[in-house]
Amino acid sequence: MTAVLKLTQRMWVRTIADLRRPHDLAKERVGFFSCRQASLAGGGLLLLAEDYHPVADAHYLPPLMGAVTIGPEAIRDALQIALTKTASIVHVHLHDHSGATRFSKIDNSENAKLIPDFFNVAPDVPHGAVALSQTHAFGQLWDRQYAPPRTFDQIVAIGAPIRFLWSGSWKTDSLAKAS
Amino acid sequence: MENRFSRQGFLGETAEALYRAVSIGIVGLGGGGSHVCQQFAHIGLERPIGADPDKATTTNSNRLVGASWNDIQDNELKAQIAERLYRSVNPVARPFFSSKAWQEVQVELRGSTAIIGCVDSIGERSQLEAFARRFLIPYIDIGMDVHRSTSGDHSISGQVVVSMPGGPCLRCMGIVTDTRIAEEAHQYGAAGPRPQVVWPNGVLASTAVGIAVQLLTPWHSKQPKQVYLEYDGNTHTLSPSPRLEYLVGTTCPHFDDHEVGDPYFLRQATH
Repeated sequence: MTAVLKLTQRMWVRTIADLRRPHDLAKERVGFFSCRQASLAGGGLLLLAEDYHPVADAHYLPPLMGAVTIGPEAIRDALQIALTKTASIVHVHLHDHSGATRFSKIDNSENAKLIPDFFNVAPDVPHGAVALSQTHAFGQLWDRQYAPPRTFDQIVAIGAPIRFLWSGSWKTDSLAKAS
Repeated sequence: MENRFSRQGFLGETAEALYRAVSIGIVGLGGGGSHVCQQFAHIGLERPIGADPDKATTTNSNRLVGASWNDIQDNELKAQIAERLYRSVNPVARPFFSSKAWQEVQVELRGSTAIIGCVDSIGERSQLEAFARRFLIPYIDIGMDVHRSTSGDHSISGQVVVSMPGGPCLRCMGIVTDTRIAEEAHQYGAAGPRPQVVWPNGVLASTAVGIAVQLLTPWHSKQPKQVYLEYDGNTHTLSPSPRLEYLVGTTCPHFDDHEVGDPYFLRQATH
């Protein structure tokens, strides 16, 4: 099953700009994409980011482990969006470097705790997590609450040019940074 | 043996792999679409997705690339002609060319990285663009027309336009208007055959292919953010439309960024 995440280039640029803003408590920021869904031929899945929701400044806590901890209000806000819109929620954070990126061990551990929660309010749609670098991306999709995640086959920022931030089947050339 | 794509190495190291993996939608496999198909076959695109319910007729023979005289005599399906042409140029390709209307293969079309619309009517353009916007697919539209003035002179005109999700749409650019849609509906069945000739189709189709390739595998850094090219077939020129000036920095009011995806999505359909 092919899994593709698409967002407009405008949203990609806006997201990176937001994630790079400094915060008093957190060493890095996080946010959520709310996504609509569509089936692809051959049983594939397309997630289309329709909005980016930054975690509010007041919803960060002193980091317990790693660079960032978000409070229950941040998660409640994201749950509310999933419930109200039947949206797929994709958690997003930034690895602020150029080039390819992957989830760290902490990312994997935290994603495994966080993402299944969204199925409690929107059980019939998939949810996921993405790490953006300045030029690339990596992400995983949870199709069911407690199923192991699968890696997105493509993460694409739509604009001129079309930016394949991640393409599992071929390596992307060196990409220009978001601007 | 030399790599068959070695002359397009300037498109980047990963271009060949990219063109094996992505799909381009080609809606309309007639005068314009047949050129587009031929060129993508040469470029090495392995997974085109095309749709056209029409059959080749005598009046197509002046411009349907790939159509043999036998095809015309047999009223062969344009989709079949396109597939045969495609495979003859690129035997490893896996084209999906349907003889159904594009609306009936829209699940397949959703997988397109870009769609090139080679359709005849304003109404079709509008529907196709709306579909492309819903699934965040860049839409490249081509069209030509021949007008006769009161003096008896003819003028050939056309356009190549990119409707990019998040950017100005065909309505913003004045190509789709309610007036034109109404006029078209009013004339339905009353209009005679529209003049169509092969060389403007070739110019417009080639330009559209170049734009698509530039979107996928840019070969320079100064990519135009908005494309609306007006074709003057009498002076043989393609020029940026003056309308672009008024579109810089504007937000499209006709499409809502939030209206994406399939409103009838069922997760079970993915298994």
